[in-house]
Amino acid sequence: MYSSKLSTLKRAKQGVLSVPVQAILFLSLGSLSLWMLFFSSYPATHNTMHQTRHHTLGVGCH
Amino acid sequence: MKRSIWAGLSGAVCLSALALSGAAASAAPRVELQTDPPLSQIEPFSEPVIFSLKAVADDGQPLEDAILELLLNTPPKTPWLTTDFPVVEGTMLARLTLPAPQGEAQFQQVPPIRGSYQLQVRVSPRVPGTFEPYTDLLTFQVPENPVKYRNLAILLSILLLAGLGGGWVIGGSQPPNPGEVASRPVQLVLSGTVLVAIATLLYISITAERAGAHTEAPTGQDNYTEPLNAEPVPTNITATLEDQAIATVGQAIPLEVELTRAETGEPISAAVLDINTTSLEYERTVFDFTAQTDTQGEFVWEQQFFDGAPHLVTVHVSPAANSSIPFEPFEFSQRIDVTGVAPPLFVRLVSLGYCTGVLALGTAAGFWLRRRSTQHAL
Repeated sequence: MYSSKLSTLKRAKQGVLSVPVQAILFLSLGSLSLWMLFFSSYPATHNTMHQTRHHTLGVGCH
Repeated sequence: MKRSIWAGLSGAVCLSALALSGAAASAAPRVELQTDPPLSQIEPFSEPVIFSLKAVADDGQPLEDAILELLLNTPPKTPWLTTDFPVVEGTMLARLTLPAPQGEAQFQQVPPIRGSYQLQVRVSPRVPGTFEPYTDLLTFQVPENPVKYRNLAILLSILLLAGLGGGWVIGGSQPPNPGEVASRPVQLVLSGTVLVAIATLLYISITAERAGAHTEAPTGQDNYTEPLNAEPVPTNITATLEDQAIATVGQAIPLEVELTRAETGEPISAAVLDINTTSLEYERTVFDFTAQTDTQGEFVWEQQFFDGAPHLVTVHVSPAANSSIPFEPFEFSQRIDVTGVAPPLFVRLVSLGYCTGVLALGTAAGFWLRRRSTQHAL
């Protein structure tokens, strides 16, 4: 029982440490920041980034 | 020899056909369009552009005493490389009727986005039967603001560099220390990215709070305001300006000006209306034209408020030269609050996909470079 838990933990650890997972975590955090800055419709974000959004190609504002 | 004769003959036929088609094209009644600044110098969502239209008859002479019915449509939708107003793409920007006593009319409009606009002009005589009405479809191209290309290049460069850095660290693949989930460099990269996300949130929150603190309280004149230099409406005239729908980005709404004599309710026809729409956010004209009231003392037009911000529509009224009801020129205005519409989720996800793709490309390149340099070192 204990050894099976340990092996699950080990597998999870190996999974988290794997290069694909690290890369996905990195890209997800980057993507989340991009969403917040350029694409979120949250009023505070929109108002702050209004001019930048209007002056960047491929970014919709209204 | 025969071949050269045939070539000469066919060339002459082609030239004649071209000449004939050119003559036919110039013979048809048409509408000529000029812009100030020239089309190549126009920037979208910037200064207003003066559009000058001239209705020309078969013989090239301007058609006098004409009426121009205009329908201005925005460029078609571009979901794979959106403009900054995706909701405005493929919609009606304005529909209005302008008098053209000398066959010429003008209006000013800020083109909101890049792309190919369509302006449909129907030319008809003010006095029926003077000439045959016709319709001309004009298209004009508005180039993109060059600043946008520069800013996109900067953004993509930052993403590529960030990706390269991240990929370089992840590509190191050092084993973690005992008791740690990830190796130190990977921990640093992920912590650094989290810090960037936190800093972004902090910046946005603080800027939003500061902007909120500087916002002035509403004056209570949201529905009707008079400019400081307004010439007041004479007491013997009733002037109204009605927006007949809630102004929303992406939809043209009908507006109506009505002028009557206060005592009798008699309509004031053929009054000259200089109608100006100003964006209160940017304090600049976005739409401007001159029209006339009809026999009912009314003028109806449709226009789209493409920016989700308050606007001020000002009407300057003056009597026509042959007006039966003399009055002093006057001015009145109305504030129009415009409901903004968020860009469609699909459009935003497409653009986010491009940016994330560049970040991924940088990460892959960084990873590959690190692995290659490690292998070379071994």
